[in-house]
Amino acid sequence: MLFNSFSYLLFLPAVFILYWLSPVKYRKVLLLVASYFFYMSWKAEYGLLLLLLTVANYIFGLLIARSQAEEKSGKAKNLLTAGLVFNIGCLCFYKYANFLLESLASFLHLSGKVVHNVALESWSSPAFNILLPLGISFFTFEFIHYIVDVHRGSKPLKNFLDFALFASFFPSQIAGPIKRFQDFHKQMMEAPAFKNSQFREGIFLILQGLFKKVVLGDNLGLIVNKGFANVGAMSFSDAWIAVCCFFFQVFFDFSGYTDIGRGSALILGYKVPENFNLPYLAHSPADFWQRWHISLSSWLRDYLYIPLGGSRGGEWKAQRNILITMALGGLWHGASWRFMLWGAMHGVGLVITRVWAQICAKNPTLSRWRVSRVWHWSGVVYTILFLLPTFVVFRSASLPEAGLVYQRLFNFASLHQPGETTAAYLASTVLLTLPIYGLYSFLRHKTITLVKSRTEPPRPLSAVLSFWDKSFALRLLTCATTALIIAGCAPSQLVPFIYFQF
Amino acid sequence: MPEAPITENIKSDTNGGAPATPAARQSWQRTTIEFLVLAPLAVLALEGFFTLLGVGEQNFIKPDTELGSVHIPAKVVTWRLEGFSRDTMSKNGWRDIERTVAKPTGTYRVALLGDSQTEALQVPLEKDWARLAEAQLNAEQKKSPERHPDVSNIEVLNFGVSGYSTAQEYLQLQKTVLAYQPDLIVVLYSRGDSDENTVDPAKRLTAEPRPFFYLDDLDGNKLTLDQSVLIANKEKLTSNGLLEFLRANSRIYGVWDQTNFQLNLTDKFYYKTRRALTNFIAKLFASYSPTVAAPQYALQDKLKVTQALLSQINDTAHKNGADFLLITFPDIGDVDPIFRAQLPALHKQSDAEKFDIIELTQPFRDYKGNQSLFYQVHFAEAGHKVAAQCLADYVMTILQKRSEK
Repeated sequence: MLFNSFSYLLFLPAVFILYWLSPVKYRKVLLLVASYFFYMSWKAEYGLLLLLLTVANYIFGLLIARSQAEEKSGKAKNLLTAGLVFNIGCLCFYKYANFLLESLASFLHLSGKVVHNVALESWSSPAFNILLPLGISFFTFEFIHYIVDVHRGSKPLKNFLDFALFASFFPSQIAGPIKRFQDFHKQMMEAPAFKNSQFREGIFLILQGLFKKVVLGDNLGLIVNKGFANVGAMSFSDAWIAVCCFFFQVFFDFSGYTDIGRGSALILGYKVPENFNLPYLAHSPADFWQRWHISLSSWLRDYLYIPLGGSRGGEWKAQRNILITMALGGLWHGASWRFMLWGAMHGVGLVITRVWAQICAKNPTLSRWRVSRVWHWSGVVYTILFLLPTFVVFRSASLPEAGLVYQRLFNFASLHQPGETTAAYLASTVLLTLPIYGLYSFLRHKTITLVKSRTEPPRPLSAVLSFWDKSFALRLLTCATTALIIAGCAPSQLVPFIYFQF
Repeated sequence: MPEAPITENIKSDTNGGAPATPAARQSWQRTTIEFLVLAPLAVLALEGFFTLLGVGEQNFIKPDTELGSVHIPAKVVTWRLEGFSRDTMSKNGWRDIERTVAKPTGTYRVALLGDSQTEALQVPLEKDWARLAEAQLNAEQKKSPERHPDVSNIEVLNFGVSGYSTAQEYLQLQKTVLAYQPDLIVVLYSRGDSDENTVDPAKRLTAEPRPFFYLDDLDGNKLTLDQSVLIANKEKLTSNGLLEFLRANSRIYGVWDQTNFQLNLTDKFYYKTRRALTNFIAKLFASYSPTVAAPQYALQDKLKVTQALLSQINDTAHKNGADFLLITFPDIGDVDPIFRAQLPALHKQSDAEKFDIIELTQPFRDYKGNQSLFYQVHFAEAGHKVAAQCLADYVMTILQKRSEK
């Protein structure tokens, strides 16, 4: 069931009504049933996989905690290792089995050619017909976080129902944000009460998410698909438009999903972590990763970079750990070398940022410049120019195709030949809706900054804000208007979220 | 875009997460007044915004008690479902430039009849096959006017309407097209057209409201009109002033209608829910009993009915001093065996009844350009170019023959 489908439009209100009408003690059960229904509406048998992983990790958590209570640290470590192998094994089997076998076959073919071994050259890998279970990358990471944190001393969840709900909670089930069980459990224990303000914020987040996904992301996707469907035919303008549109599409698609998920959770009284904070205004690749897919980057930091040694052990090791973390983070996105390359490119970007920061710190003139606005905005432009080519690798179907796109981006011979992608862009609604969303986002950000700084907002603005807070009619009409804009700008086909494939 | 309750967010952000003070409650009277003042403003703003975006302008068809559906005259249509175009229907309700009904002196007129393939909303008006063929023919004529001295201008009129069957095209020809005095009547026969010319008597209740034909075995297999489904849906098809106004002028209504249409096509759950509801309501309020009102006949041979319709179109054309040309849709991938199997029978009929037939399959296969010929189902710009070329070549031949006579 997709967040942007008609089924979800019926599902969410039904869950909402039943949830708040139910006695408090049954609410978690209801959410659990709803979450499994949500998951199994895609492929019923994979509900069993989710259940199996949940049961196994629940037992791992209890056993690790018990071993630690009995001060058997060796046993606890072994159990943790077993838990990690189990979770990573499941992820590898479902997500990477074919990729690993294909890579092995390529390696053997190459080796066979080098050593003139026909057996090696002709070895063909068995192909598994495996359908990737939706969200497995996300809930596996939540399970790993759980058993590692229990091993680090956090209390395990004793109540299986609580643990099962943490793992399956439908607003964050398929594409995150990757939750932390301590936060989520605290909310479950508090038995959230209905709050009008939360309901309002939830509804607005859902609408904002749908706007981002349907009005912006999906329409940008049509342009991107047009370009990438025939890379060889792309002109100079086509290539730039396709790449820039994908740059925005991936953000609106994913952050739109997160907004809908967060909004859905909020109307049920739960808060799930934020995943984005104006990432395209980052002034460096390092800043970008503090603003983009925050729950993943913090997971990678806590459960990969730090266990690898982090920045302990000197600069070279820190740089090595960054590269490993980012390359594996890239591979997490998809079973393909291009995703690993994408991650590695980001790793290199982070290393360069780190080295540059050290150079600046040692140079007094550079240090003075670093605080200037010009420096900041130059950093923003540099980061965007760094990100654009990485997204080419992310979007292309293969590395040779990515190479062809790079070629097209500098194909000045076709400078005056606007192709089909350019025509699709000029005909699209995003020509207008994208700047409008940009303006909305800017004004919202400015207003929040003003109110947060406790500066009295200018009179007209404070009057608007006050009217907004008081007027139910204005809010209702704004919601209805937005819903109509979303429906009006929706492409003819339902488009799944990009991150669902991960 | 709606704004999240900023002030409340900030309050909870800045007071350590403590719940925000609820805004003072408004009286329902004030809310009602605000709603009554703001709602028209919202409607106006939204209509303006949609006009600017070209959204909610895909609805261009209105129901008709005789033909099932017709174009809304002078309607601005922005089409994004497949390809892109933004044009206005002519005042007479055609996807064409403005034409006079009376044929100007010295003009040779070609009338194109067909469905969405002919209508060609997927490409801008100036790039559809009718306009391209017309431009090419007039350019040729200008180059050497001595070849056809009696012809000073050639017009290719596009009478294509989405979803039309051959049956509807035949009725449309009689009702409106003949008034334009065409010299050549062209029917673009598409895949699936024959399915829509006749109705299974047992499925009238769920059939789309349109005219059907059958071969009456009690009357020597005479081609007979069956209006029972139209009559059964008369209420739905009769114009309702308000609905007609909204359909012609409101983008918000257009969005509503378009969303319903798209969900019906793409969302199985929506389709099933809606169908179950519609059937339930239909059964609850059904005053239509097909067993009483509708003519009784056996399940028809679709191709035979189609051929009878083509014969009628051919006869009508000849009676009105026009030629008739049948063009068949290109099936370059051989994806439709039923359609392919119909072609020999149509050729045989064209030989017997002396009308010409052009199959577009081969010219489309021979296309050497690197542009796509199709979007998903319909012609892309390159497809229109190929079709226009075939039509123009044919018209030149016909004109040549006429001059020779």
